[in-house]
Amino acid sequence: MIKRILGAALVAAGLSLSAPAAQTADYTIDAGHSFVQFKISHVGVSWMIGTFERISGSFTFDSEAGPEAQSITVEIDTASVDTNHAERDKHLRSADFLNVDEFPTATFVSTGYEGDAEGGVMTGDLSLHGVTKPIAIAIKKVGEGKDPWGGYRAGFEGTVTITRKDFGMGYNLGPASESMELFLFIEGTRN
Amino acid sequence: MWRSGRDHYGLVSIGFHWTIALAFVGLVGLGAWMVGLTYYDPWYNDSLALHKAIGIVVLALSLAKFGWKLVDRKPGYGPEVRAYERAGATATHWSLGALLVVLPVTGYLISTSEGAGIDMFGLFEVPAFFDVTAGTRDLAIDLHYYLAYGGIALVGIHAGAAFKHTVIDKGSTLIRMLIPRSRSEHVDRSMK
Repeated sequence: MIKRILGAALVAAGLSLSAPAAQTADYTIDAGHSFVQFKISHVGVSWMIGTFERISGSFTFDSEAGPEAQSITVEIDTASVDTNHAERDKHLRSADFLNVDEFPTATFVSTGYEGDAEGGVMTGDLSLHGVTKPIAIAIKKVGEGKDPWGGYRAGFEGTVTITRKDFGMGYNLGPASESMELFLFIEGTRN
Repeated sequence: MWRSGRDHYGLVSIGFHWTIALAFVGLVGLGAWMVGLTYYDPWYNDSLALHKAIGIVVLALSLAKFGWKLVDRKPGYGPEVRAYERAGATATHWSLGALLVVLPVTGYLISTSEGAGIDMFGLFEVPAFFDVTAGTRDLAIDLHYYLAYGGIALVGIHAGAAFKHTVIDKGSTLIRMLIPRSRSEHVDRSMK
């Protein structure tokens, strides 16, 4: 009996030791090297750029598998919005915009992908300000490879334009500022 | 005249009191009005700039006022103010005094939380002195809101009481904060 258990444990240990040899395609988002930014017109004359400082999530990037194998989940701490202007950030966190007390997290969960290992369109549900709507993010692989510290990384950039009103944030900022562009720069370390 | 006496306030105290009172009530009114302005209102930006600069002025005036209080004479309460009313009055005065420092400081912390200074009417800038964490900033935002409206309630109590002691109790509470000289027929010895 004891021998059998020990034997099973040894087999299990052997399996788990050999596991790293098989490549995983799952990545954890490196928050320190990932950025979610937005760009919106300021009264039609220039751009206002904002960043969400705290994001997290994971993605699956498997260049061997088909499009259906690729996926990503991103979580954004809405209270971490930063536009380089304290009072504006306070306003953005308020009920006029993100209402961060009630909706502290925005998420993007992919539902499908069309394209190849170099780029394509990632569709998914964006939940923002309590509203969940499908969006399509045009993405492009920036690069992948070993990093100098023993890990393996892959990075992507994506852009999508959303209309504020669609997500219940229609506060009047003028006709030029109804839609905004989102930029995602996502880098992950392979698990 | 300049300094307070036994039964009246001097011109310096009177000046501080009414300047700060006017600025304080004005700032709460300005604040309540400006947060309702829409993005396209011509006052959208200037109202906040004024609010911040006047707030700093109130902080400076309040600190100067407390400094002056340390060296000025302290008129006691008039006979029209009863013992239990004195306790309430003293509590109100201390609360208002604390408010005059805490309220502008919370406003300053909000505005400078991302490192920007406060422009003083285009003349100079008060720099951001502190590194404010998001938690402290959010606390300052809440405090600023509740202390402002709570402060107006305190001002109401303070003014109502002064009115009561002057009109109903027929005392000189309000008058001695208006006229910088002794009310007594005799020469106020403290003035000598």
